[in-house]
Amino acid sequence: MIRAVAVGAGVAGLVLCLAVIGGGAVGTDQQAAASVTEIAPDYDRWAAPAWAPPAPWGERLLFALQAGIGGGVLTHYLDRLRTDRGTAGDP
Amino acid sequence: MHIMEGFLPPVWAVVWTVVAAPAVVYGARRTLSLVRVDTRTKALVAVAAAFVFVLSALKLPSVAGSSTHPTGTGVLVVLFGPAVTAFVSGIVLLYQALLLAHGGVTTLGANVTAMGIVGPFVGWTVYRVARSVGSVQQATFLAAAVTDWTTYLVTSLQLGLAFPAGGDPAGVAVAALEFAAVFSVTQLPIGLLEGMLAAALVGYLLRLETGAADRLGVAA
Repeated sequence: MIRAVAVGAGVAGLVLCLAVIGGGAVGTDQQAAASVTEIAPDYDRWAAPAWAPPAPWGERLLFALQAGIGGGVLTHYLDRLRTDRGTAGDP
Repeated sequence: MHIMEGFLPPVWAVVWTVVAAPAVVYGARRTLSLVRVDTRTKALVAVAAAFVFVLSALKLPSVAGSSTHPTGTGVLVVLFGPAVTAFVSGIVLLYQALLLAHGGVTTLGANVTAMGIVGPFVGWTVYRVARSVGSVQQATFLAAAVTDWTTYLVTSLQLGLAFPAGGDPAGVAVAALEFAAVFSVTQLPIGLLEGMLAAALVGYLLRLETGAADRLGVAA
């Protein structure tokens, strides 16, 4: 479990670094939204996010949290599969 | 591939929600039945789902100056098929819509349809065909890359349908191609990267003798 937490923290840190390095890059989602505005300038955006993380660190940290949870779970269950190697699964 | 909150007209938001909801519900039932089979299957589901969580959180910059996300769904697709992928994609996209303002609740159905249903279904079909002529890793690489690319093509088509460049079907195609052009420069290399990562993980699972071989149609 300690290993899973450590790997999860490492993955979160890596994702955070990648987000900082690529911080200036415009997301293709935003580019697509800009294209919508060009194609349909009269379109009235009828809904907006109820909550948005504070820029720029809130979004980066929450993406890192998502990756960290995934990395931890991935490591935990890979370890379990390694431990159970060669034995039949429990019912 | 996240269509942002409010960027689909209400009628399309409803249409894609109606399309996606049954697949997500069926996927949830299928996932629950799978995790009850045995501890190894449960662990494999968890590993493949966690792979989606990790990869879809990556925001990768490209040489074109834009950035985008992998989908991470390739391993789930080849191991468990489109239904389970629809359910897991729904969870990931809901997290990103509510906490990250990436995508949205009104566009959740469209985003799940692209990332969790159509993309995975095409990738799963490609895996079945490729498996008959290539190795598991080769087929997984191809399936994961195609799943990623198809996801973004579906998003382009969804936006093209909602915002056609004219009143006829050609206007839909023109608009869809315009949106696809936005995604393609960044997504083509990311699809290849995603294919390599998925093939590496599946190869590792096979070496661990996890029972993945049974699910991948690999002879013992």
